[in-house]
Amino acid sequence: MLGVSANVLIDDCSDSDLVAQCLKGDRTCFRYLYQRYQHKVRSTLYQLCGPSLLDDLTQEVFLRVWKGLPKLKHQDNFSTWLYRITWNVAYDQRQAFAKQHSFDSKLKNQEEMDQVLVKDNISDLMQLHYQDLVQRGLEQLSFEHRSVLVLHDLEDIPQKEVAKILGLPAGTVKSRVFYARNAVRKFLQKEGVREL
Amino acid sequence: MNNQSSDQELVNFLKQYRPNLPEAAPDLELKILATIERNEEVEKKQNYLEKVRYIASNNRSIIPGFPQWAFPPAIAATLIVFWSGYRLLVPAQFNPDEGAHLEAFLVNNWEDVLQDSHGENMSGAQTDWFNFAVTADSEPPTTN
Repeated sequence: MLGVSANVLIDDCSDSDLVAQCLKGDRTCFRYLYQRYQHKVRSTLYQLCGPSLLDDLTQEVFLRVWKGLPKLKHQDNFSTWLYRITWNVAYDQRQAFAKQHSFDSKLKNQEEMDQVLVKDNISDLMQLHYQDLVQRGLEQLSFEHRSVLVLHDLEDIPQKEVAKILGLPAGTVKSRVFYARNAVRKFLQKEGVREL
Repeated sequence: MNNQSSDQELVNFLKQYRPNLPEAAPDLELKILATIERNEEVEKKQNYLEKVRYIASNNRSIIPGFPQWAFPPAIAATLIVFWSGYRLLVPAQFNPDEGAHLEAFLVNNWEDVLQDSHGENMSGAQTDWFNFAVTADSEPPTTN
């Protein structure tokens, strides 16, 4: 019962309230911020970097957030700032992966896919096939186009906020969304998806 | 083809079939908090060491306006002041031989004085003293 009322109180707290408490050294409030945003952060990281090192990258994001909180000028923009850090961590990771990300990773993905297929049987075959196509469709985009598509279309962040997160003009974001959608659509159609 | 509805269809498709997010490690939250705590302790130590190094490298004093080279002479001077003050304020230890010698001297000196006065004034003084004490209402002799 106490747990429920505590959760209600936490839900009522705005990001800026929690950030203010964190700045006073309250780690419990940081824990609430983590619980509020960890799924979005992990989801974004997953779409941008894949499953490997996902927990490590999440940890890196929240460590940077804690360290950077004193420098956060506008506490109301916490979520935008958080996505910016998430994107930075993903970008750094992509740079580190750039040398290795070749045949090996593709092979590994195929192995993982095969394991899933064996495990889940044929009933979910279509679902898994489409998931694989979406994954590959995102992978064939450049990191810049993929970021825009993930943030705007998958994480439902408005274009203006995406522009703030990435530090780009709104027009650039719009054109990148347009390009990314077309590229993914073409890929999916080429792979035989007729519903689009 | 690329109108708003087809865009929406594409977005819906992507959302529906985006790969499932793997479960986070159950202790991830605690791990993050522990890492933050460890990181803060390391940072505190580093800040302290940097401060010490900065002071040492710039030959700066910990006390503003007091040069670092003056510390050893100042410490030596303070020790000398305390030592000499202690020597001045604490009384010298009393020597029992000296005490006995002084006591003997005082006793001898006193006895000599008593003997001298005894020899000179014994007859007159003693009789006067005894006579004076005979009666309380006796009047001194008149010379009429």
